Amino acid sequence: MVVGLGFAAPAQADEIYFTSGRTLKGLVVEEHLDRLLISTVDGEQVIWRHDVDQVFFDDPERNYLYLGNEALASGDVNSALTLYQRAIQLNPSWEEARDALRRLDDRQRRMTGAWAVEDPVRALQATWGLTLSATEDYPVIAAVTPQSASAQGGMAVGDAVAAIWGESMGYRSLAQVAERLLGPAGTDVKVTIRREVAVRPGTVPNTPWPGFGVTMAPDGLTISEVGVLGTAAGLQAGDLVVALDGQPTRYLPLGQARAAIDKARTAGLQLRIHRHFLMHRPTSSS
Amino acid sequence: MRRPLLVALLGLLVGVGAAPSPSAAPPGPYAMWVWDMRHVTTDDGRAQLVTFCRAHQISSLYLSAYQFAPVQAQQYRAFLRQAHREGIAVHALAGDPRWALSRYHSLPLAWVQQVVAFNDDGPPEERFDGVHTDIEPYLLSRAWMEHPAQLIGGLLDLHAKMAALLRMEQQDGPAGQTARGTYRPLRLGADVPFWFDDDPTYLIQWHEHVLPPSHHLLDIADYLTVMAYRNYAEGSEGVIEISRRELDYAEQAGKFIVIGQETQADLFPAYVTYGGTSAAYFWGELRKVAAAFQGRHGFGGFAFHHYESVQKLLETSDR
Repeated sequence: MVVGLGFAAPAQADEIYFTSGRTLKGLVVEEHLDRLLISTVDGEQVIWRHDVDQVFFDDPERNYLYLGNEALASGDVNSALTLYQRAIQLNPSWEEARDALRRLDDRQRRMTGAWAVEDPVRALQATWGLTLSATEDYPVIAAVTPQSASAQGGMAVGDAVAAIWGESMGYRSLAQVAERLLGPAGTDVKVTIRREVAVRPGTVPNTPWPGFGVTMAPDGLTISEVGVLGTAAGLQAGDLVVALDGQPTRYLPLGQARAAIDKARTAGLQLRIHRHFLMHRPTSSS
Repeated sequence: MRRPLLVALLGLLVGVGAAPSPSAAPPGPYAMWVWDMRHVTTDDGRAQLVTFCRAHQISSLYLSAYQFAPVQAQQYRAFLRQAHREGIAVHALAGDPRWALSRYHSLPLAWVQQVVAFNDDGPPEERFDGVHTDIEPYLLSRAWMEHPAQLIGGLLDLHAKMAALLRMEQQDGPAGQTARGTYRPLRLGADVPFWFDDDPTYLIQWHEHVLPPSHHLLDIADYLTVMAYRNYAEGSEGVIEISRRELDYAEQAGKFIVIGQETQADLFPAYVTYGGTSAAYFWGELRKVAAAFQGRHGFGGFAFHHYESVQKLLETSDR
């Protein structure tokens, strides 16, 4: 999962216990299949999962989500279910835990159906009209078949597949990502895409800068409202802003973010956003 | 010597002024898990929770209280004041399956110390009445399959350390607390599954005695909440039978058990929960359990899991 995208630093810290016996305190800001990214007083550090014994989060609900993911990875669906439910009991409004539960349901549906295709990447092209391309972190959409389910759903060339049901798709093979997207026709899958959006002054005459508003939501810096200029740039209310002009927003207080946006009124602004799509799985490209 | 202590403990759970139920509810006392601490972060939330407890004679809460930053401490204090005014005991609730691993015992022990420090810093009406653990080490899939004895041993060691910590606090005499008001020691309670003493696989030698984990825990803690998650009282798999051995041992040890009952809807298998049934059915089954254990001094009533789902069961289904 991709986490910690913009909230204020907590009073307490997460703690990583390594298999070597060492420990490290900080704030876990990204969780991927093979690695974690932790922010410490010395800056961000990449930690390899195979070196980690356990991660203890300061928020108890995150511990239960983490343990649920571990249980699921080891194939214990019942424990994963109980652990995810406990995460939700601790924080019923936490969408990430609810997504984990939906992911578990989705996994069960995909496992009971005949979805083990020989070449999932090709199957994805055929059914979703989506061609993925590998990069050094997230898979990027290289082509979208016109009129396909992906095109109709709003996916575009250049978007990266950041997460599925809240689980990071970073540092995975294209086949692994395609497998997660494929499933029984008509079922839902929540895809989080990462998109670069440029907001340029003057693209729409006589419109005030910046044409969008931001707020600090639990997940981070979020587009709260969109005016003419923001709409023209392709922004939507609810988009999560993960970077402003290449600078990650996860440590950026709201006031500073607003000031940075305001200062860019002459040069324009490059935003990196995350947007969630709830896609209905298609039967075939149409 | 055991009986007065037990009476005192039950008194703590029942709280002051818990009147007999005007409805068809069986005799309590009743406890309830509150996992989402956001219920106590606002005036409205606190008032609703207390009102609900009053309406259903719930006299004890296991309230999720793991974090003790100033903002949370302030919220706990506000709720504790309000709950204690209504005679509701509040136990700080936390847990993590990994706490059973000895490598990580420092984390739950630090939590207990935080609760103690929190109590030390406030007047009696703003203090927790106990610490309550929910550790469930069997959720550590692979570790539980491979090394159950290690996890059970760790679970027992941890509770022994917690009990020692609380005893030490009591013996050392928190001068500040005494000065501010009557000192009441924190109680130690733990959640255990009913099957901990059903399967001989889990018998474990600990401090010279070979017993099921739940019996060892009854020797260590002040009370146990047995998660006897069945939605029927009678029969060989009913709540009465699956709680009986814990009750017998509790009485032998001079302790008591609280019988946990699940109320969440849509659980599988359906027989583990009253969710989806009716309030009338729920109270009816509890009445059978209470009748079966009537007069048993080791029976400390029922604990409802958990606030949101109990609310739904009792307030939206028929009575």
